[in-house]
Amino acid sequence: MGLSNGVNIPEWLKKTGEDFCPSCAIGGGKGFIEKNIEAIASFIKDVLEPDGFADKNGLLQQIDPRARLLGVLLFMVAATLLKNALSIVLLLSLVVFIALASRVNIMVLLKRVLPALIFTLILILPTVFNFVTPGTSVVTIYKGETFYLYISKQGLEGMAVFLLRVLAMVSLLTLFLLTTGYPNVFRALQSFPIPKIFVIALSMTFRYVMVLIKIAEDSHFAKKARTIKPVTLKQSRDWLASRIWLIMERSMERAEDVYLAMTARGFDGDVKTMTVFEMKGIDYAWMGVSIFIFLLSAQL
Amino acid sequence: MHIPDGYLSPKTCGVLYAAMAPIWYLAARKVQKILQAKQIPLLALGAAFTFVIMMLNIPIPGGSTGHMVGGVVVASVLGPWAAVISLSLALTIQALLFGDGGITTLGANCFNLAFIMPFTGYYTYLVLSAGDASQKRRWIALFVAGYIAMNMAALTTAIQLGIQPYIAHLPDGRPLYFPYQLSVTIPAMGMSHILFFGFIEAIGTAMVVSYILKINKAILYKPETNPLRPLWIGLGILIIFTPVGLLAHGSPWGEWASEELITLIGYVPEGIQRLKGLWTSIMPDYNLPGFDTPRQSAFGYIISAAIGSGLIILIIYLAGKMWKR
Repeated sequence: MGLSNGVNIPEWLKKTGEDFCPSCAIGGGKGFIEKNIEAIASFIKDVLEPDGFADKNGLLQQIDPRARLLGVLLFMVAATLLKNALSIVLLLSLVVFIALASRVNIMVLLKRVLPALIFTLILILPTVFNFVTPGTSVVTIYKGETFYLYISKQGLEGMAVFLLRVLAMVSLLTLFLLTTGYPNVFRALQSFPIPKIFVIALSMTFRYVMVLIKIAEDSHFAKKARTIKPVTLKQSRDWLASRIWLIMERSMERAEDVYLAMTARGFDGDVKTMTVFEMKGIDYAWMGVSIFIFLLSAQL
Repeated sequence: MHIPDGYLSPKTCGVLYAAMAPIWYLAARKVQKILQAKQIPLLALGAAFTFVIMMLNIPIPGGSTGHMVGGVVVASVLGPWAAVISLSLALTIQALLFGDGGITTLGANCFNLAFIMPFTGYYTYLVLSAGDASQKRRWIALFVAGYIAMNMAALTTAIQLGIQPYIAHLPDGRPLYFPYQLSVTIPAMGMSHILFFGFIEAIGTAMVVSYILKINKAILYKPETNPLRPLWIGLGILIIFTPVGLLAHGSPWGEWASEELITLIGYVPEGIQRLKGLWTSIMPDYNLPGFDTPRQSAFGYIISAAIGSGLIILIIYLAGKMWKR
């Protein structure tokens, strides 16, 4: 991947086009397609420009991306192995320490982790009540003749362990993503025991996602520019199906073109990379710490 | 449907990665044979396609939204084996770069969405549209294929989540990972997918693929053999794996097969009706991890599973005969 680490997106590209053309807002609010496109745009922005932390001179950024990824994975496995709240809190404080040492803003990290955390919280909230986890009552909500509802100590503990584990694991992955630009993610993957051909396909996938989103966006705005009266939900869905087909066909065409281009440049199925693996002292130290934490949690 | 990190026990994650390893290997070999050197850009594009499809939220009645996975669409264009790789690539990108779905649970997510989904969908379509199918029957076949594929993926997801309290808990029985049992996960996932997400995938698949059939039939994947043959192989494998599922402690493949067959033999409706009561009493007999299984019940189970699958083969065989006429 020839791109440098910091991809700068011009300001105008980041705007999602509010107040762009007020008369375009047919039928009041935005349709689901427009909302989708906005969501996708912010998605891309998140990945291409991970708040600039990847360029900072912090702890994780100094570690080779390969060692960085392996270490983070080991920490994640350690988090799944831990069984009590205290040990996960300890691991979590280590994650916070690494984040601070890598000059990652904790609030930014938290903001990224929050959706997964809230989803998990809502999902497992019923487990604190006695109808899922009976045990010692902490808070009695209702006590009648036949019906007894309370929050149990065991339920609260179980929820804490589950939430803390999800928090630790999601923060670790987010920390890796925030400190590693996407070309380095793929570079890191190449030294893992995965066939190189898959890593190449993976990085191509990532590029094509951008291309296909552009096609999706273009066709949406093309339609929007030509629409003068509100469309029904069914028309909207029909249009979406035809555009999905369009994306599909464009994908196939492009695959053909790319294959021809690759063949023309001498690709014979064998993948060669120019990156040389070189471990420095700090990489060994990082690996040592992560292996130690992993082994420790495996014994707990 | 993407299982996040921390929901599954390390054992389950390991087993599902191990289950995916031979599938990925086989898929890579099959793809090499069928698509040759063109494979990389094609697979990458297929992956990018599903990735984009998964981002398009479609409104469903009631104000909520859902999205397609596109597993059956990709399988019908690239073939089921190439779809395994394409969907796996898309899921990896989602997990690795967007934090959508876990890294430790990637094996599980690939098993559900990149293996179960394209295969059940593709072969359902193939069987239902066997012979000289009319346009209307193809549409229905695609609809049913999308619906079944989505629901099968939801079922395996529900099973993976639901077995967590049985296989990983503290000495006092409290779950360490996903806290809800099968009696909760299967109805919960079932309801949302039978009522909503299944239909999204069904309508989406039917619309997109029938559009392709109408516009450019040539890009669709052409099966090299009799469309019904894979079905026999699949059922054969299922039967062979059923006893293995009883022996292997906590093997999701076995669990899936046994769940499947329990469903087919007809225990599930009762179980769902009485939720906890019956389920917890049935489960120990069906060799869920953490319980000792008497050899006799295992035998009875194998026999009933064999009878059940035999019946299904018979029904499908007769249906196939009728369609061919």
